[in-house]
Amino acid sequence: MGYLDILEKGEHRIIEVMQDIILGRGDEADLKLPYSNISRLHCKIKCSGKKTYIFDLNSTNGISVNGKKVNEHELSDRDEIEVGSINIVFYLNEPAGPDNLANFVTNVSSSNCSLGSAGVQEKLEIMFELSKYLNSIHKIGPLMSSFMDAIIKLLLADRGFIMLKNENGKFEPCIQRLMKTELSKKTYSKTACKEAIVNKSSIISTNTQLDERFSNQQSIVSNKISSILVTPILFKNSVIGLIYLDNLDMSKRFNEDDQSFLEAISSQAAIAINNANLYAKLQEEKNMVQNILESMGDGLIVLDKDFNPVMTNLIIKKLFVKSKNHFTVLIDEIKTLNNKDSIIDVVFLKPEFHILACKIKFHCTPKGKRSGVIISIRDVTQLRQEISLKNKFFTLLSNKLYTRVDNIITETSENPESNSNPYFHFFNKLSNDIQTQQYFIQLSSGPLRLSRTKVNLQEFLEASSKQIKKELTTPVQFSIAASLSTVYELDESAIKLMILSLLTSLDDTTPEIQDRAIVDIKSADKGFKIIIEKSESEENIELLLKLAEIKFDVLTFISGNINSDDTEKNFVKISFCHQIAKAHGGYFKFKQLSPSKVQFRIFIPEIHFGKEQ
Amino acid sequence: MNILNEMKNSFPCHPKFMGSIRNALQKFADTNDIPMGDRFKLELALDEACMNAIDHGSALNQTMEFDLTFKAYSEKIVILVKDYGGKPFDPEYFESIAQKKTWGHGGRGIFLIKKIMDEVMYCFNKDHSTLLTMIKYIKKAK
Repeated sequence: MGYLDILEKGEHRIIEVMQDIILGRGDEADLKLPYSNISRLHCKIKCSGKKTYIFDLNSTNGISVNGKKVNEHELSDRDEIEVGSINIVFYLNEPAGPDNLANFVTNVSSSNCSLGSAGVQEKLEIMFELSKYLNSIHKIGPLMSSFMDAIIKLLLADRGFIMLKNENGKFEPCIQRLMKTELSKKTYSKTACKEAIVNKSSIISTNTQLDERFSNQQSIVSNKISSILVTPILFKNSVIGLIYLDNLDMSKRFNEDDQSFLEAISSQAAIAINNANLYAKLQEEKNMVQNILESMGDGLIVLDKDFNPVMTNLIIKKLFVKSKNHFTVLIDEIKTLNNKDSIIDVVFLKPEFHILACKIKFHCTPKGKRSGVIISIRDVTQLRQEISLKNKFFTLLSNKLYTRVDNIITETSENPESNSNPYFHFFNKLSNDIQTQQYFIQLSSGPLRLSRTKVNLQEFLEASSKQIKKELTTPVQFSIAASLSTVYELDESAIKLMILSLLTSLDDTTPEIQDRAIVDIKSADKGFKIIIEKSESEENIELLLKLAEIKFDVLTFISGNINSDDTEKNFVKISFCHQIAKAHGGYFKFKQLSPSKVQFRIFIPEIHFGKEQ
Repeated sequence: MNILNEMKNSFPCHPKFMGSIRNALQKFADTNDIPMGDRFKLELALDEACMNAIDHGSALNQTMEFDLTFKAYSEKIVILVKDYGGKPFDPEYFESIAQKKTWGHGGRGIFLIKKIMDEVMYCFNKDHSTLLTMIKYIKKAK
């Protein structure tokens, strides 16, 4: 139930909403608005009990309420609706409609030549109607336009304008009526305006030709102005605007009653202007708050003291679009909290699965009375899914014994199909997070066992494998192919990588690799590609000896166990190992000790280049 | 959406009251002209929900009670089961239920509720209460 004030081509139309109304351009619409930017069935005003709603009927240009595009909206008193180019104001109670006002004004103005002839009772009635109407308009433009029309009709003025003070303190014309051309100094009495502003009082001249103040003024003479009435619009004793009226017809002259009336009504206008400005500011602030809400990562619901939703953001709308019933139940549940701030975990099991963490904060007045509720909702479903994937990833790693993570990454990056593999992306993301030495120490103090052992390469390799030892005692079996010359041009890290690769190969259980030596290093997508081949040429022996000058005398060896029951920690450990290995040019391996236990080792050599000092 | 009928009861947390609970549903179903097929489904879901409330929610403590609310709207039935056991929230359990497509180990009760009802929501107020909301859309014969 309510009223629609429809402003169409400057004319107001008041329609009472008794039942559902469809607005549109087409014949099937209940309220026809024949404009091209309005769809055939544009929107629907729906009455539901004491509440009234507006729904967009999939129109091309949509609908806006209070400057914001909406699909559906519960209408409140004085909501401003834009349907295409038509402005509609919704009122809960019958507004002091412009029709009423216009009729009233017409009756008064047609009965006599001046307002002065109206009785005190009538004047009061006019004042009352006019001020009621002024207070019902919240936009400066329509407000000033209606006000100007009313006073021109009531005071039988030929012409008039209203100036308002702008932000810079200058007076600017806001609205004008029947001034032939654009408002210029020559079309009106600037002196009268100036005087009214300076003295903060009205200026009236019943006969300008006999008035010494104006009789010689060019604007008065050239425009044949016979009578002038100028009134400042005062708010808190400061001039915020000015009403200027004049008459060209000698038979129509303003009198002191007109002046008193205009002064009285101008103070009403001042309040209305101030209200309109405050309303505009409020709207601006409301928009700003809404923008802040939209930019938040969490969903937010603001409820008033009676638990009615006042504000929500887009996240909430998306979250509850398929679960409107859940919204109602959740609000009912919040009502039972007895004003106690709480955290509620919510699971939407159906129709869509969501896990939500809801933080409920009650706002109270200083006297402890509830003034509103703020509910912030975080959808943790995705986060939980990531953790779940992480656990799956760990299982995958455990199952693939002796598989280096690097290989997994290479595989996934080379295979376009597996590029979308969430493990890969997740792993990369987490690896990047773990890269500080500090983290290293923290983990080391826990169940992770760290041992730094100085190991001579020869000794290390001897201990590693009898087969390798055998091959190292006869180094001639290893040689480096022709392209090794480029090795010397590579930087330290490249050489380090090469050596490590050799170590890795030697330690690997694959016999094919054990039988090979480095022959080439090429730039590859990920670091270097090292080709290892067995060669016995004498030339290469010399090169190998040169390579032997590089001392790699320290090998850091980190080991620890993974208990599959604690997947969360294990994953961090694995990621950490990989990161450390990657950062130091090392590698790590897993070994299944038992079904629930996996051992991992990180190998990080510390290599010194050049001769030992 | 106007509520047509509402029935609210509290029951002690013991399975021996399951009969009374079923009777309450039958009474509500009679009052609101719920089709027979839907009644059986609602009863099945309600059995599971109430057993969970009795068992997990209140650890078979007979001195404790749980709330049962039926709400009838023109096109749906809403059942709210609220226990005050303050059972801790286990997200992994619900994740497994959400992903569950066939019968398997554990969680069959909630799986059943999920299958039968059109909308299901849990609210966990830590150490205080657990509220299960179940909604079933009803197509009444004209």
